[in-house]
Amino acid sequence: MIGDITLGQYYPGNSVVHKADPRVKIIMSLLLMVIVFLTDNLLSLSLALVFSILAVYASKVPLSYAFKGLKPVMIIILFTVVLNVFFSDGTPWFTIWKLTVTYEGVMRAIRTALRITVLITGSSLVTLTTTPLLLTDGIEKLLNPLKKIKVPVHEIAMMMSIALRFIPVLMEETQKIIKAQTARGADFDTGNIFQKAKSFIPVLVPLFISAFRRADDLATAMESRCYRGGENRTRMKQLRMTKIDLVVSGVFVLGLILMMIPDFLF
Amino acid sequence: MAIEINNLSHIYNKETVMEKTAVHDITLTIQDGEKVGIIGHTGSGKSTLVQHLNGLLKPHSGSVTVNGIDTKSKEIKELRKIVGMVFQYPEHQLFEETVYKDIAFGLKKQYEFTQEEMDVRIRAAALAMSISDELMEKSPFELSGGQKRRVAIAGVLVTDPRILVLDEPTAGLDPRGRDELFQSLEEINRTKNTTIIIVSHSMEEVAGFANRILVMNKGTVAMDTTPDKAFEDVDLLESMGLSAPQVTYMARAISGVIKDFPTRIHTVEAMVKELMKVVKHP
Amino acid sequence: MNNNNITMIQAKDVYFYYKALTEDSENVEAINGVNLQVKKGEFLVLLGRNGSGKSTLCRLFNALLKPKMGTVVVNGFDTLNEDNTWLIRKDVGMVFQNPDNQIVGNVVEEDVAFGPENLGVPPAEIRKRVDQSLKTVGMSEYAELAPHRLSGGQKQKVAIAGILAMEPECIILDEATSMLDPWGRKEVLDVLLELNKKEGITVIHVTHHMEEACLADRVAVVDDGRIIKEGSPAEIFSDVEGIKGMGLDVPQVTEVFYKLNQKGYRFPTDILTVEDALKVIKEQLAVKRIGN
Repeated sequence: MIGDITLGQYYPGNSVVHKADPRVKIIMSLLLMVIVFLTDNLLSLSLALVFSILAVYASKVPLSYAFKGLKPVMIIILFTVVLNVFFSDGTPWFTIWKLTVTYEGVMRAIRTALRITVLITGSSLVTLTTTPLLLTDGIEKLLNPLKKIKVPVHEIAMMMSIALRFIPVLMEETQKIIKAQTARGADFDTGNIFQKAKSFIPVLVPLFISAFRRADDLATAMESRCYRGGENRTRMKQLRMTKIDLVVSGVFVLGLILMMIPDFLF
Repeated sequence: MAIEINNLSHIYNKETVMEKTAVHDITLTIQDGEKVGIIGHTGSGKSTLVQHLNGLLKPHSGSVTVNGIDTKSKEIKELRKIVGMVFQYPEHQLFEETVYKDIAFGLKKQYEFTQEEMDVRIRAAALAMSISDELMEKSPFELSGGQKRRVAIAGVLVTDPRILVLDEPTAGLDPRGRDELFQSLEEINRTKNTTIIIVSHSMEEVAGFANRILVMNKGTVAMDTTPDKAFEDVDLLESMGLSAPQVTYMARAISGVIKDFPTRIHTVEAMVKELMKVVKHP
Repeated sequence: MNNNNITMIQAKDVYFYYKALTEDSENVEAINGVNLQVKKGEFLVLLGRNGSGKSTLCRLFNALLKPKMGTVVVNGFDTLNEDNTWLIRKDVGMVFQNPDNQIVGNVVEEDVAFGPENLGVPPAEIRKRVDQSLKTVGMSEYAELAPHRLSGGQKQKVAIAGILAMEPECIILDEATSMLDPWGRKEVLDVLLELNKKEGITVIHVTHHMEEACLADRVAVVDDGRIIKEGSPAEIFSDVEGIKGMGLDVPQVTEVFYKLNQKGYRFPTDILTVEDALKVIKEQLAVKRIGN
């Protein structure tokens, strides 16, 4: 279950999408999200989905792998779909038992599902094709102007990078602790919601303690490797815009314009 | 009453690209009161095998029966009372405010005892692990590494399991900590006839404790033997990523110059005895 | 010039203690007056039980901790002088116990680059050093993997590569093998020996495993915050009683001859390896034949 989360996991590859500058990828995916949220046009949204699928295809990340990121949010999607289908006002379409399904409700449900799907696919494609360090580098560079108003941009980027680094470590640890406490007779499945929450204390306390220990260890290790903040730091991999970035941006902008056309026409 | 494993197979990530057979077609029986060392290289399947004993993992084919309970049955709670499982670095699972409360955790979860009954059991488990009374009201996080390990093991012992499984119990302990832990386990086995199963990378370490050695390799049991016979074929052990004690290598070297010198020696005492037979006393 | 060119680390009358967290806290690992000279190019093992102070001691060697009394001078730089901190840490790299908790990068090569990046090394030069360091520890083919896909021994080798990329003169391993399986320990030790013998890097290895101590040029036994013994592995382990009394192991071969000597034999006491053992046994047999 926990192993299914692909968000923040890098999928090694050598595709155009992998090679593109992280800044380009971040900005483009942000633009995609903005459009997906602004438009209400079904055709636009469908085009956005087609476009994201094409992007996944270009990245050579298996489609099933890219969509794996959807699994954890499946419940949210289903929930909103159900809510929209059964509890929207509008022209009644048909009735199941006591619930009336409206035409508007179905449309809204489809739109919401499309939106979330594009949102997750788009953002996980960025993390799947960019190593976390490049990603945080990109974010750092993009946020650089904020340094002028004393925002600790480097520190924020470093924190994100470390958080990503420790996701798999802490997940593995959680599974281990759950197993061990289960073996001692802990029961995580029965009881009401409060009892269930309480039953996780034997997992959460050791997990937090371990996270703090790891944080302490890591800080010491970083210090002993001469880390002293972002100043005078160099990077092995310099971010440099290349022809690939021009092409990728071009294709993307074209795609985005294409998506917006139906919105303007209808 | 015993552990009976029949044709057990378990596959990780079944039906995906990452599919990997962890254990394959294992059949064996472990009797009450045995001291078993399960030895193997990382990835040999030893941890997977023992996690079947208390139903944390279920067989994909074959069966595991412990004291008559099939691990696939509904009696999983009963099973977990019988089989105590100590994972690697068990001190990482401590969470209560005091040592006493942490040891009590499993007992509270698995039984409904009165306060007095619980107290007797908690103190007995602490005693078995040589945890002194003055430590009982301390926070487990104030203790030294070796003490934490003992508290964590006491937290499993407290329910009085008939079978105690320990995964790499000596990892990170120094030689004295290791020796003391083995002594405690020896005592538990002797006084209560508890079956003790130790999973380890190092045959040398477990050979002095166990009376039966199971060597795991590539998901199967490659050897099922006694410590005395385990080191007969050092080349075979090495091919499985394991090694023999230094005295075994010494015995092999000596057999090259002294005909008929026994090569299966694995303890210092045995080596001293054999050498005294062949080297003239001054 | 003074003897800077042969001394890597010089500790003089060093005292250190941690502030107790609560009044009755125990296990405050302390250093009680340590004098130690580490020579350039040597392979030194600090051997001691858990909690003996060996880990604290090596943290004093790269200015992660500062002595409360006495001085630690690393490559001519006093650790008490704040200005020296980064110079010292560049010269003396440290590998820690838990393989997971010291890897910063999300990809192996990015982690190896972390140190030189902090030093402000130009990008092209970092690339060169990263490739070279990974090659030295035999991890080139894992350069683009995520660290959590590696085994414990491989993670420690990546950590060593990360230090090498800073071009240090000395590497300290703070119980870096204690969480590894025998295979991983061997992998790491092989790399260390090679670095020491071929590249001339000073190695300080903190451990409680006597097998690892046997590989050293020199062993310093740490107990209760003091160095109670220093010498070659053979000298150290010839005191079977003393080492065992401290809760440590001695090589089985050494113990065999120790026990024989207790029964009236007169074997040398400094036999550590199977080869040495075979040699003395052959000698004995020869004497026996002549005697007959």
